[in-house]
Amino acid sequence: MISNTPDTPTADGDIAMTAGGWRVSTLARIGDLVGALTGGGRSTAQGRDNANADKKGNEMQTQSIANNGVNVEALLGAREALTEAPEAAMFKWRARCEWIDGAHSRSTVDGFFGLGAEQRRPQPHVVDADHPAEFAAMDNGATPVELVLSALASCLTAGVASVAQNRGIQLRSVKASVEGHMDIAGILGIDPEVRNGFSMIRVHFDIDSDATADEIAAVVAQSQKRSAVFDILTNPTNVHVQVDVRDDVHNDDVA
Amino acid sequence: MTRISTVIIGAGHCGLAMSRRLSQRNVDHVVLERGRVANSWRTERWDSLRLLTPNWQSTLPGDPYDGPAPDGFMTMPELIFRLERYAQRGGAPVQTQTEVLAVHAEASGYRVETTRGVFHCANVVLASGACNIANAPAVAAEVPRSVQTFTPMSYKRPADLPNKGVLVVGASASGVQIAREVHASGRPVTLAVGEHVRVPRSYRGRDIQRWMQRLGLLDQRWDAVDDLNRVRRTPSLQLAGGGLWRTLDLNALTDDGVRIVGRLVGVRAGKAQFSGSLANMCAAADLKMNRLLDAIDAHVEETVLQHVVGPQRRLAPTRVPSDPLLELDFGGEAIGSVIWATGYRPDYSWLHLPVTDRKGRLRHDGGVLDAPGLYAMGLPFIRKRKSTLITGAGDDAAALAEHLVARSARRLAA
Repeated sequence: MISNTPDTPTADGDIAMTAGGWRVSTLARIGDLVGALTGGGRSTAQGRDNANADKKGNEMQTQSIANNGVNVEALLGAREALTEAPEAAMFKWRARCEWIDGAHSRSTVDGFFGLGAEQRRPQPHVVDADHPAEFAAMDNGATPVELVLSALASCLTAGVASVAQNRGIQLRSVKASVEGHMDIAGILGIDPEVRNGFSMIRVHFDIDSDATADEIAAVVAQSQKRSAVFDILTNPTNVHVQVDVRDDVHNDDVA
Repeated sequence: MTRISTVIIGAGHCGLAMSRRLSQRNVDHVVLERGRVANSWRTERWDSLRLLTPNWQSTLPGDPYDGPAPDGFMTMPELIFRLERYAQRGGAPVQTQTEVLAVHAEASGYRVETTRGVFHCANVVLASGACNIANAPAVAAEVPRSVQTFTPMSYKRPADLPNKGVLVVGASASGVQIAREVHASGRPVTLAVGEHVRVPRSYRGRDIQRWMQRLGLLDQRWDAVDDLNRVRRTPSLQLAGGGLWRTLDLNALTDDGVRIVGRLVGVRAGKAQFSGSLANMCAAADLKMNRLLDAIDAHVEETVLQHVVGPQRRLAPTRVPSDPLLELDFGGEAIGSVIWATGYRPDYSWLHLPVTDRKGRLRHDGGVLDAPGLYAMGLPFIRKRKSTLITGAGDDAAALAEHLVARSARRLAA
């Protein structure tokens, strides 16, 4: 629970309310993870609703505490806090992108809005995108569609780690490979009946852990259920594009 | 104007069970009913519906099933007959054709305004049902005007639908039952499938409800589950009460020729859009079902029932189309109607008390609301997993009646 007193640390010190709104200290990967932590399956030591969980899972759980490097307590605390303060759950994620040359562009992500305030990372993250030589480009980075596939893999993998930890499953290795099928007759304008985007995406997980095959399957299912990128790819989203035109162009060029 | 200790709103199974419990404790009360006894069961259900719980289980306090088919499933006329008989035999003080228009707090309790006068009372029991309004997603407004829309409350029988294709949205109990009978009527059905809870009708020779009761799942309490909001939101079990022990799942519907698609997520330019998450929805439901069946198997082992129950025969994994449809053109595919089987919610628009959360849901602790003398019944997992079943009304009514009587005693003593 969050105290209403300004600047009072919470039980685990992960979110505190400040006079100006909400402040993050170590709320890792909140977009993908808050909410990834419920659902059926193996139960935790805290006596989770486990009507359907098998006994073996419980015994394994109490023998050893799994550590996948996910701060489950912080995320569960955040989940509870944000249930009480729904406005703090309203986030705006941002990226800035600048054209460099040809198909090469560079995106920068640093700030985002969330927990009631502007947030800024100590260091910006920079992602280059380009097309490969087969598209007569310079290959200065992954193609945008490959970045989408990598975003899906990363989102699902982060979800696997946190759901597994919440269910007391120790992961030893998690490898995902993602393949997006595309008929480029769409983007090349050869066939108007072919869509530009993927016709299908396949994800393959190779997971080594202390859990049974069914338990891992349940973790992967729950990870999909709570994944932002999985949702973005499987459901439609309205996209609004605005243009600011510099009005210092020469009339000759426009004509 | 009438002054009375307790007003029960609704003469369905919950209101009648509460009336019986209050009568046993000599609490002066009235049951207000907008129509006739069992009004929602009479007017807001489709013709072929049977209860999802077997007859032996579909009972109220002091009224065990004594008919010829304990393992059968009641039709609506049978249920209505039983509820009417229950009200008569118990002498329930039901005032029919009395619709509650408003409930306000006043100095000594509550003021209940109805189409037949005002009641002043110390206690109010909300037993007006969990299914007053059929949910439809916001995108329902985008469905082309030429397509008729129905809900499980307005749908009665296939013949009322246009003689064209039908999109059924939602694959819980209502959606799968309606999909089956509409498809059988010759109207090709597309079924949009989101999160659902798959269970076999029977396992190892016993009805699934028998197992859930035996495992103690039905008696699990609201204050003993970890994520109460989640269990309260869980969709109804994908079950049908018709045809003894017959499982109605997505595989059965696929065999019938029903087209299975993902969750409906948008309607744009005359086309319905479906989520690409169908495979995961089905995989998750299969895993969850098998965990329940594993728990049943473990129970059989522990209690040495192996020799009296059937073999461990599991349902096949859900067959998901390799390339499920993502878009459906209402015009091009000749879809004449949509049935929104996307859940229900109660209507408390007449309850003028600060007892709901920001989403309009009642705030309560096991049916005891945050207003003295105000109680609720019949909502999902309100006190126990079985609260949503007819058989759950008896226990919940007993507990809440006890609370009500204890509170009244304290008031008198003070």
